[in-house]
Amino acid sequence: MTLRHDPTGTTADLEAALAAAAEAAWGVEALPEVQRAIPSAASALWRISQEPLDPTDVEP
Amino acid sequence: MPDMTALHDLTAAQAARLIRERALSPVELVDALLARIERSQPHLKTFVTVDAEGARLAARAAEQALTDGSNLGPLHGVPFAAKDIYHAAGLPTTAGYAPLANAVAAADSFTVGRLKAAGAILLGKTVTTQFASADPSPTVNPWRADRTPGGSSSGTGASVGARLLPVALGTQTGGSILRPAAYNGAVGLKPTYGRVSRQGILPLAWSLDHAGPIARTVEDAALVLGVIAGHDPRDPQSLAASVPDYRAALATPSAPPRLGLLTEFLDLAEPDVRAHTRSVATRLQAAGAAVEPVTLPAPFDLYLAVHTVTNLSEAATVHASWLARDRSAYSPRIRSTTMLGGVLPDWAYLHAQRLRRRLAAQTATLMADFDALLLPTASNLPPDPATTGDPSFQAPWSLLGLPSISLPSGVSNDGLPFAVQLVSRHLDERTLLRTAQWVERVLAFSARPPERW
Repeated sequence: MTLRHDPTGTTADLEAALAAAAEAAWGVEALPEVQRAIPSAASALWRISQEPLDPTDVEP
Repeated sequence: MPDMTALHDLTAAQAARLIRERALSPVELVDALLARIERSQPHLKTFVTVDAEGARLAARAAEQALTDGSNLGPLHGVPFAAKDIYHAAGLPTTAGYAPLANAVAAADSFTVGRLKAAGAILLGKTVTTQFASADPSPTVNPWRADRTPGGSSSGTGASVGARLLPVALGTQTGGSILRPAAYNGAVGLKPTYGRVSRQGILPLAWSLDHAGPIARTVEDAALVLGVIAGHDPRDPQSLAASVPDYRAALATPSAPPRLGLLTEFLDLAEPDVRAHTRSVATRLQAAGAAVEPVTLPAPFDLYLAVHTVTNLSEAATVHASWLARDRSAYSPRIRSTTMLGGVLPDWAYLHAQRLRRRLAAQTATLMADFDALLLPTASNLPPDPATTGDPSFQAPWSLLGLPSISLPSGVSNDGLPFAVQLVSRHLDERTLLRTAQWVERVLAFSARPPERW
């Protein structure tokens, strides 16, 4: 599972991908410190991924 | 001279007027409030630093200026405090983070400097949650000790709510001005993003951070905003728009406002908050307001998701170097969010910013027909102190940078303050404040917390 933009992914997929990315960045021993933020972040990522934007839609 | 026991009941506007008329000594006022802060501190824990010596020195200088007939600023002799992420020259800015315990600021933040230049007297620094994030602070809600004062401006909200001083500065990234104002029975004003400089304030998330006052009246919020608003080239997001005379705008009565009652917020609120807000809408309508039910132009959860991604990404970047160096002194919630925010993918932040721009345009269209949107300030009454409460009803307006204000609107059966929120158009604080004052007069809130200290 990756963190690429994938509207077909699920929040569970994103939670797993975030945990893997956090482990890679901070080490496995740091995962308990990060864990509490993962569900809401995964939910937010999933939610925005459900909003398609065409190349010509608004800029950041 | 007013009775000393009533000095803490004076609003900033009342105190400024009495001082200017030589009916009140700034020294007496400062002494009375310092004594009150000292008495309450073991119970409410609202202050990190009390600068009694500096405040008394400033008060004596203010008194001398009266004697000399000097030009007086609009807040001459009026005490205030600032959340402990604002720099104030000579005082530490700790942000609730132990390694900063002795980090004494060399200069005032733009806002603290503006208030001092207007004659206001800094009494000290109020407690913040660590780095203005979501880990609860030790501050106690003056209405009920078993409930949170909210956050992150917990000391600012509780100190004003407990009438320790008339006005104090807070900041809001999600809901940290309006929610503590609501939970403590005070008025909280979050101006338009860029209206008030963030210079000299420790950041949490650059594009979401707002500075603003918590006060007891709309007039006081307007008075402070008039002093701290304006362009500052040291804040790259500071707006160059001219600043209206907000206080003068309140001097003439406003017509009953057109209000858009945001119904999905009622649906999401806890039952007692929902019932209370409906009763407020009914009262406002009976007093002449046009109240029309409306819905957001996009799903509520999308606003929150965009806010969450923006906040996580920016806070992680703000804190990246300190976090990498030593994260042990970070509190659990902010440590978790900043560590995780650093691994969010680039597309998420940019996608969120594109959606944010779209939401801003859609919401501006909705607001065109109203003086203000009306909704509960928070979904709930202050909950237990394990959290700082629910920011979801305030966060959309931080995300969009729209001006919003919280007004106390009643007291629940179990002794907690209710509050309603008004939101107006970009840079239209004038309309927001006029509408808020009209609502304030109709609701005539006068309750105060018990004093068990």
